[in-house]
Amino acid sequence: MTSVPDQMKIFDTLGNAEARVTVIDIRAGLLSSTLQALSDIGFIESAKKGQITFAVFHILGPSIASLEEIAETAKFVGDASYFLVKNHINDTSFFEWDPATYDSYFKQIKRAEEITIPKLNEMACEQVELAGVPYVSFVANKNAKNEAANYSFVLRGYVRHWLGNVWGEFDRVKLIDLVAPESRKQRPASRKLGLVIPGRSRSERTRNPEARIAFLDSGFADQMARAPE
Amino acid sequence: MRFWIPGSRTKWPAPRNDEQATRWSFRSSVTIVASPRPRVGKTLLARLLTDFHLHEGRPVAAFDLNGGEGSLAEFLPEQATVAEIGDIQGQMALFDRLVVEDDINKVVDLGHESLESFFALAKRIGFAEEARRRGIAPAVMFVATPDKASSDAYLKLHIYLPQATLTPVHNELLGPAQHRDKYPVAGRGAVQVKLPALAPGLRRYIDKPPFSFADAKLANAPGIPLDAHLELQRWLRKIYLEFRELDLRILLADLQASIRF
Repeated sequence: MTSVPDQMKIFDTLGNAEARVTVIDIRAGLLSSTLQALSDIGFIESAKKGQITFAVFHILGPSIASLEEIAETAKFVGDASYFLVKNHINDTSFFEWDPATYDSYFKQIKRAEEITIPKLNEMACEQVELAGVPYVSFVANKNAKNEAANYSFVLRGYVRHWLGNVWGEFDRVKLIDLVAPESRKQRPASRKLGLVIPGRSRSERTRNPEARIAFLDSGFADQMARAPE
Repeated sequence: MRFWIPGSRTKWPAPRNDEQATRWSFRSSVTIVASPRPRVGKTLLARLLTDFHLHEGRPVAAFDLNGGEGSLAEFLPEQATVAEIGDIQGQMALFDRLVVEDDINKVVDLGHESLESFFALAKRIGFAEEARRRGIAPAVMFVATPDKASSDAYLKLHIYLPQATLTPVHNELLGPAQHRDKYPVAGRGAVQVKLPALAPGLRRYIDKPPFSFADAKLANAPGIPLDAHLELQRWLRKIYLEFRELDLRILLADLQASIRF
């Protein structure tokens, strides 16, 4: 994101690629430089003018260091939709037991919306990682070549249930209206961009569904409409 | 509940297409014997059901989630496997086996302590839907008792497993059934099943594990007097008749559905 050729790879396709949603998964540590790069190329300005729908999913880990990034990120995102994603990679409560600490972070940004990603069973999570396929493929018992696989029925059930809850959260915050409002009105959707800001560790990123949202691609709106349960 | 398997006496109609296949052409069954109450005859019913499959010449595997003394695994060590669902490994060992398309009928003896967690998990992972999709008929035989907790638990099963055949079982040993309206049947062709009371004094002959009602040597067992043996056989015939009637009713209901379709 900091080099011009890489920026071109991402942003020069916005106007002509078939995909209506572009998801960028940013590695931890590149937050400031990425936002600065977006600002430099006029991307954030375009979002302000309404030419692009820009959303930031700030994946939070259960640590003070992670929560402290909220204020820093909020300064950059401007008018973008800003989602604070509580990613439950363990049984953390994100300091809800300490209202003062909790409010100082989560009530600080008034326009930010919270999304809670429930914890996925560790073994199910590891099996999806091993399979190297999107969650939807795992649930459908398909391998990377879209052939029938032999994943555990129980683990697939856990993932399906979890994914249903995740999509329930997306529905709750009306994400589909944000990324594809036109599809509900039966009109072609315009270009959207979703930006994922990762947590502080790889596990935080890989366990969050936004990091894998790219599988939804141009069928995102339809997939959302078919969210299980 | 579905007792039919390929090669058995009763033949199911061949499916006309995939959609129909998911609706009535079952290859085998998974029957869960349940009740939230202890000592109401769950293990006895699971034993009878397992032995009924054996008696009919059908392959059967049983799973014991009851544990403790006098468990299904003690009575039928060759057919029954001890299972548990406290951790994900146990859940996988049990449920992954239950949905395998191996044409083996399965019987689960569900302990009262595991009832809630078992059905919650079954709902969560979509057990009944997956079983039906694979041509396996999911069924629950629920030992009915007059208490509210039991009837509430039964009604909850309609939510947990709406795709399963729910059969209330009235164990005559528990007294006359005055609570039938609390236990509505669910699923095509399902009926209430009566578990006749065993004559006093005969229980001791069947309560010492290992013991199989399907054992060919039962007739010549030295410890069972002839009159007791005859009474046991009469009792068994009554129970098997109940099982067969349930089986036939479901078969007829499925046939009717296939004709209407």
